[in-house]
Amino acid sequence: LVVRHEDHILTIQGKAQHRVSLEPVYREYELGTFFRQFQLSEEVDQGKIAAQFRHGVLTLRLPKAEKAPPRQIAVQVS
Amino acid sequence: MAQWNPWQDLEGLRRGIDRAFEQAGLPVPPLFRTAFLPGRAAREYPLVNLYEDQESVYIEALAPGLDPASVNVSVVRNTVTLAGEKPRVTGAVQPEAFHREERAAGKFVRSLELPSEVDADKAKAEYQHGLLLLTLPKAESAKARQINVQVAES
Repeated sequence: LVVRHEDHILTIQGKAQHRVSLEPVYREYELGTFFRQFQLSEEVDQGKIAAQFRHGVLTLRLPKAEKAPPRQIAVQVS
Repeated sequence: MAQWNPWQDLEGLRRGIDRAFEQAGLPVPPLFRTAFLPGRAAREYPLVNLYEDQESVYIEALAPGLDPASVNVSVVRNTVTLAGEKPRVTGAVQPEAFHREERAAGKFVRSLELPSEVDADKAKAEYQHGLLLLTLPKAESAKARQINVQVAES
């Protein structure tokens, strides 16, 4: 499983495997490789993306970047 | 004695359809290949694959995101029932905050008929990486037995 972030594109790709190596007698699903991409907002703080994998569910947390606080700019009178 | 086995018939039919597409040089429609995302419609959940060897029947169920403690598996004769609840989200995200929701949630019950009787006392269920694997040893009475042929002297 690979999660990649590049140019505001988030890519998730990987491979899922069956737990039994026999040929099924009855089949409702197949597992294989998967690939999916998402366009992310510019607001996301790239350095703080966190991923967690639990019970087969991947959770990504993409924190929004903190906005630069407003700043008073003193005007110099020359 | 030939026993009618709907599972084998169905799987054979499915393979036949796949082969027909492959021979015609057409891509196999995704519907036949993968069901990675269980739909949100009233569809059977979880999807299962059934395997069998001489000793046991195995059921592998595609069920990511369950709380293993909430999953209830019961075996009566040759019927297995899977029940449980799939929680909506992990974490404190409120439903109002969703922009997109593709993963379904809710309670489920599914009963499956097995191809042979199993020994419920020896059944095992394991949950790992979102796949639930049931190992159901066949009942002694359902196992194939080798019978030696005696040559009768006349």
